[in-house]
Amino acid sequence: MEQTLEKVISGLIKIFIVEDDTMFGELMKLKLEENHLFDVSLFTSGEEMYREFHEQPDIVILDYFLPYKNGVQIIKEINDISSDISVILLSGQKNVEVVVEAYNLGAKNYIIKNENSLVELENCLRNLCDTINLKKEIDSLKNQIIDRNRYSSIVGESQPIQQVFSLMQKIEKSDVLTLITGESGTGKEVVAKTVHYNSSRRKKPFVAINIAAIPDDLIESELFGYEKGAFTGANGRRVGKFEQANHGTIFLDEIGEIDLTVQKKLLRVLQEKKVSRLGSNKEIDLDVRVIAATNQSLGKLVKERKFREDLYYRLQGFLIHLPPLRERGNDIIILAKHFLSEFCKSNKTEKKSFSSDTLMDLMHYTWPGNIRELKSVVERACLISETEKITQGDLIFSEAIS
Amino acid sequence: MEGQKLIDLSYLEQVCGGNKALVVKMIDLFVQQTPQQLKQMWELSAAGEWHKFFNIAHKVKSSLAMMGVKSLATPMENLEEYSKNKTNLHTVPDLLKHVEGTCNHILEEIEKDYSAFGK
Repeated sequence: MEQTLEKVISGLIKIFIVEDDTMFGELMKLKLEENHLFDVSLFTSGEEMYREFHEQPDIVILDYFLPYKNGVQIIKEINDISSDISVILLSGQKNVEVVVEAYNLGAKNYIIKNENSLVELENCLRNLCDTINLKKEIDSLKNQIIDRNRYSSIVGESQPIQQVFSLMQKIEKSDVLTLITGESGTGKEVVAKTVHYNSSRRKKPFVAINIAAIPDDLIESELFGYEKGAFTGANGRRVGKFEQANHGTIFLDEIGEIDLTVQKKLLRVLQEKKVSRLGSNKEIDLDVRVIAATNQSLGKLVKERKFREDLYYRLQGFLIHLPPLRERGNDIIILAKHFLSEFCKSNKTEKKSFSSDTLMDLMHYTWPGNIRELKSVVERACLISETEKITQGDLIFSEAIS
Repeated sequence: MEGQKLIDLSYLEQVCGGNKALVVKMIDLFVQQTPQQLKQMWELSAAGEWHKFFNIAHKVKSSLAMMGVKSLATPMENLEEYSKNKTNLHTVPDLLKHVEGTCNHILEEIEKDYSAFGK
């Protein structure tokens, strides 16, 4: 336990003392600070303490007789705010009913003020610290462990994909602008969706737009929308993708393909968090998480003056690079088996499996089309195969096709 | 009172675990706050604000106990009890006068015996 304590103690245990007897309060504070284990703050009333409650104390030590509200009333309020805070009542009040009520409300200890109370308090704190530190360590370990269930849509166990999970976990709780890079077919949209569905925005829209799939002259109206009469053919109002994604997430796929003239407006939207439809001066407030993706080197596009430098830097908020399939080792086999099982299930065919030689071939192939290509190869092989076992002859790689 | 020590710092020294600076700090606090608290008690008893009186009496009792002033333990308990239950209130001025007088002697004792304590 000592070692555990040392390790976690780097973050001191935060103690709030609420004691209006300045002398006793000060004595407690100075005495506890001698331990160098505690960060102690002294308050003379519950109200004064609540003003600093955002500092999230681990332990609150309360006197019973306090101005405005007594210690027992404050225990109840603290419990309503957080059940994680340990409360100790330290008081001259010996009334059994008060003691019982304090315990019933969740006080960890009730120490009667006498000549032994400070020694008793220190012993009590020592025990509580063990519990608190253990809890802190468990919480910290929990945060480090990737909850695999939340990433069930991403198949794989290799080190490179574990690193991706770890990065995804870091950004789920924030709204940081994220750029996902990686070769075509590595699963950029799947990652973007997974981040969205694991974030607090999960119940709001996830709007994906593939920039490369939309003609240059339409991209601006697609993204930002337009008002009736904004241009020839604008027969009615249209809400843009940013507005559709409001309070949710917008996924801008193939961002490297975006037209230079639209880049300027996009940069403004990202900076100002406001959008105005074409043909309108009215600005609409946006609360949108932006995830962009590209399979190109944006840095190279900047050098070639095809991509604005300011937008390039704006997009560097948080970078997730998806590894190509050829660098994911055994994930190739795991993914191949996964796709085969899914395909058999959706086509209601009998279960099939790969021969060992087939798996070796899959492992040795370079997969230029990455996961997308693997899925096609597996599904094709499943259709070609006439037996339960998929053999080398059933595999047709895209390179061979081309 | 001559020759009889009113304060006994053995408890304070014990809880401070040999930390002399901490003991000095506590004595300083006692010297600073006690006359002020007694003044407040006079004002509150005159105003009949017994709940507030009780709160301060409770603190003064605790401070005196910390300084090892055994002779005032019973008068302070009485002041606490009378103001809490609003009984025997007519005895409060005399009790308070006694406490105040003893506290003045305590402050003199501190000045005499402990002024060089922290130096």
